[in-house]
Amino acid sequence: MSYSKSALAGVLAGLMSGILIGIIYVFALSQIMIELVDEISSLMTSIYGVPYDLIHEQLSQIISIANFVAPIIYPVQYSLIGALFGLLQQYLMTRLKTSLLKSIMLAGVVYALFLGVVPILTIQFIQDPLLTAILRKLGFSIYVYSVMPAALFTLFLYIIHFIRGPWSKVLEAKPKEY
Amino acid sequence: MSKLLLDTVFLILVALLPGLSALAYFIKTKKTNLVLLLLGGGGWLIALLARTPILYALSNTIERAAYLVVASYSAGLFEESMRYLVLKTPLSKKSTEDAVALGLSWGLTEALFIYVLPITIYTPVGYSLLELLPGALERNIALLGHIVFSLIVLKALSKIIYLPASMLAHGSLNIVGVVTLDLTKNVWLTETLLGLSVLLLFIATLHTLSRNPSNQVWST
Repeated sequence: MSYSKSALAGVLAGLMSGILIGIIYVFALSQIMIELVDEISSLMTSIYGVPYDLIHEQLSQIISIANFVAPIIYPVQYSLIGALFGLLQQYLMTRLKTSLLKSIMLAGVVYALFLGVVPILTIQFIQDPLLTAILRKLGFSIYVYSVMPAALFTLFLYIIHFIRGPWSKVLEAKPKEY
Repeated sequence: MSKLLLDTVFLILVALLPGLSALAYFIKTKKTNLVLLLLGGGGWLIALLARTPILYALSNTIERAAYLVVASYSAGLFEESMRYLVLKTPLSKKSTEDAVALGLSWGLTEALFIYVLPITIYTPVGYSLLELLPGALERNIALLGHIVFSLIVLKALSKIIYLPASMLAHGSLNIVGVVTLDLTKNVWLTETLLGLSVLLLFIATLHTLSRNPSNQVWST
């Protein structure tokens, strides 16, 4: 498969994982965020002296609008990231002379480390009161949420490469201009 | 339609329409590889996600002035490195047209995530049109900036010294904005100065690069 097609496969895998993450956000995470509004408002009042009612109202509005935006923006975001990791998968396969399956797994591991594990470890290291409150609320599931995009991307990239489906037409079409 | 919604739509159009029009022109006339444009967007996102934890960690540990300098130059370091990698991929024809199209997709993705998305969320929470307009205009200035940086990085494919030059230019442009706003507290003056700086950089880049068309990369 060419680099262009690999990037396209990454875009499709990213799109699928983004749609799923958007759905998960709306049905699971947003509820947790709503529950956190009281706690974050109290913290911001005590740390920054912001009036409780003001910050509570603003946070509630922001979260309710974010619920509308999330299902659109997550697929966009993960498609763009997917393009690069799709390309990385092809690069790893070519350079390391590994199998398709191994290169998909490797790209997924890099994804998980780079965009999941390292950011979450940094947040824990900072010990910011607001972030700590969110981490405490989420508990162990924060680790699941942080590596979930990488895991879903890897799974969808595997499906796209190994299982025939509607995506096969797109990936097997001749390029117009390269 | 409420005034609030009209204001938001107007701001989004100001921020995105010039860039989208230019991009549509490039796609139609220059046959730009669409996947390269997606890589441009992804490149900006990855550069942002990669430096955010570092900036978070530093935000509580170093002084504000030092933090602003680090934040400004880290944008240059991470974004230009990613831009270099994207332009180096086999998907890029390493042409001027591709560099400009990459700059456009880079800037439009940035506009989408740091302007359009926030105003979609924040406008109902008490910001006026006049308060949000400078940001929309700034996105167009930034767009021209990203085109300039892409052209410099394109040149870096054959002469690596242009890569740190692009990082330095990007960081310095950020510093101009941050310092001017910090000193004057005047957002319109800041945007004017930023606009003039980018314009000067654009002219200087075109002048420098057209004087040294030492390889195929630049002479398309």
